[in-house]
Amino acid sequence: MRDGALLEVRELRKFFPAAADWFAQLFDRRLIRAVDGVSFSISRGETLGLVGESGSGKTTTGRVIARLLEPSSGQVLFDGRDMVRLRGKALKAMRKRIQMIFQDPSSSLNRRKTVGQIVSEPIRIHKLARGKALQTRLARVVELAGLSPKFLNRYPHELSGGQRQRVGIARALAVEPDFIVCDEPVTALDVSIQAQILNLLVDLQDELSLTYLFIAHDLSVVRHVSHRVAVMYLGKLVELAEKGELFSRPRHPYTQALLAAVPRPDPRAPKRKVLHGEVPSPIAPPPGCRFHPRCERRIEGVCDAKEPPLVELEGGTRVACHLYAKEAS
Amino acid sequence: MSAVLLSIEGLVTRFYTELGVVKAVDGNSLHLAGRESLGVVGESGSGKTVTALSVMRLIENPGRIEGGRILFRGEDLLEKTERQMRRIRGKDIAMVFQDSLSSLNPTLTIGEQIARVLKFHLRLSKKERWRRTVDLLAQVGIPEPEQRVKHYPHQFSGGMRQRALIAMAISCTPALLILDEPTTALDVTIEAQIFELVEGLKQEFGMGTFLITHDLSVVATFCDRVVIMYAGKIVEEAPVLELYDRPLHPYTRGLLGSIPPLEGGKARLDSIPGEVPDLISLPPGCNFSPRCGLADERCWREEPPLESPAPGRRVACWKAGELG
Repeated sequence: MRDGALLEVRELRKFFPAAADWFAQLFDRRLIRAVDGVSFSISRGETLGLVGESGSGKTTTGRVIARLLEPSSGQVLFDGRDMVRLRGKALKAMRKRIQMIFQDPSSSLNRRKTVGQIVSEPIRIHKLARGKALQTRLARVVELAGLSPKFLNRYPHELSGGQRQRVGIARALAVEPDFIVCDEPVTALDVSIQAQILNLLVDLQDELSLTYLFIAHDLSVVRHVSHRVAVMYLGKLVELAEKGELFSRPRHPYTQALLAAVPRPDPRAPKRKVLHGEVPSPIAPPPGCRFHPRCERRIEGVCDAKEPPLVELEGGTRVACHLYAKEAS
Repeated sequence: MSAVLLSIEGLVTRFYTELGVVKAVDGNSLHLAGRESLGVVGESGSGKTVTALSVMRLIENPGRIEGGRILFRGEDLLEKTERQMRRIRGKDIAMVFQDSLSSLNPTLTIGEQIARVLKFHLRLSKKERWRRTVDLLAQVGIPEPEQRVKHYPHQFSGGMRQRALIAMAISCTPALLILDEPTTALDVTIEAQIFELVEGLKQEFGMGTFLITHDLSVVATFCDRVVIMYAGKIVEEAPVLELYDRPLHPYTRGLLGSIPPLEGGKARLDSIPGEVPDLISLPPGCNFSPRCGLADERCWREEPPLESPAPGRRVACWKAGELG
């Protein structure tokens, strides 16, 4: 375990049945291997960015950590205790320490409740405050999220997208968590509002010494907020590195392709390189390295036959690619 | 640059809702030459999509086009009958929408949907239609097109559906292709594929493209010229290099400052304070003034006109001279 790791994920797997209901499952026993053996750890006060395209398993990973989903196998150690095994009171106590901010603030807020009711619900569930103390606490968390307390009596539909996301943030902060899973928290927002929310999340981390798992598909957003970045492809972790290292010296061919595909806000920037093909189905992932059918540097007979282990290189970068098998320290 | 293909003059499009009149497009003018790529950039409520829907004459109740002219190859589209418009839509002007799932008919195969366009506009025989449909799917990079024509939209991935929509849009080789956030719902590697495809088609057929987006990075890689819209009005226009080298409007500067650089090295993003205004009750004076760090008395009182400080450039800001 890393020094001061708050969260450690070991060999996490989450499979879903491919068929829609129990009846169809009688005839179709195939599984969607959404997360297939992922391990990483996050230190206290750190932000780990988790990037990947649709179907990479990044959202499922976040949901398992927040324990909105039960893993199929593997461990999620939070502060040294395996969350997966916790039940009852111990689980509830742990839930207080891990909160989540969702992508779509419109569908993750109850339309029939006021902002005050939404934000006070977790406080009441965990019996942290009542009466006057509750009101004081409400006003404080709402203000922390950059909203004026006058919003407490409003309903979500009376707010803009940015304000709604601030309510989602206030709700997450209400129980004074240590760890927040941010799942694409700015994707649904306008560009000018995105920057406001990103600045807010960075400020809150400093102020409240929070630890984040920041899930996003936008690489420049992830670079801005993260300390380290993990890249997922088709249920597997392919690379994990300090952010400067990952962006200036990406090792995995997929990370390289992903970075080359990002458009820059500069008409003189070199042309985007195009990675051809699509992400294969997670029901029947390719054998060997899952990226090999799209990889320009694949080694025939190796990449299509053997799954590359995640090895640590000099400088601490971890990469799962046969090209680096010899370099591993 | 070749002759003007599309010229919008003083377009006014409004929506009469129960809550009040939404001034979605408020007296805008812009033009597009053949073979040119124009980027129209704005956030929600800027009027960029309504501008495109006005060109297509697809504004529905309670919306109304209330003023201006939309000249396509010199003819005013606002004077056309619905019957005439049907002959133009999909043939001379085609549009690709953001949400590929809702713009395709779920009960028809991809092939049938493309073939219908070919039947209506080009009156091709059944055999020719099928051959051409398969060719089109191959052209937009869909593997195994002979099999894929028989598939339904839900059997396609998001990237494949967007390719199929592009195939449909180019099926009659339109002179003008409108792309409304064509890649917003897609992953970045698929986005790069789609723009590579459109770029190739543009070279091949020489069509003008009108790209609507909120993403200034996409515009930088794809467009020749850019129009920035805010709350129903054009606030800035410039050739693409000049816009990024020397943005004149504080809103454009704010948008560029809000993008985290991929190279890193920025501690804080220059966010734009406040919210996009409500189009029913717009502020007096400049629409951007409540969020603008440079605004003074005059900006709060008087609306700045869209002026041309240099050839090819337009900006609507009292402070643009000071920023220069």
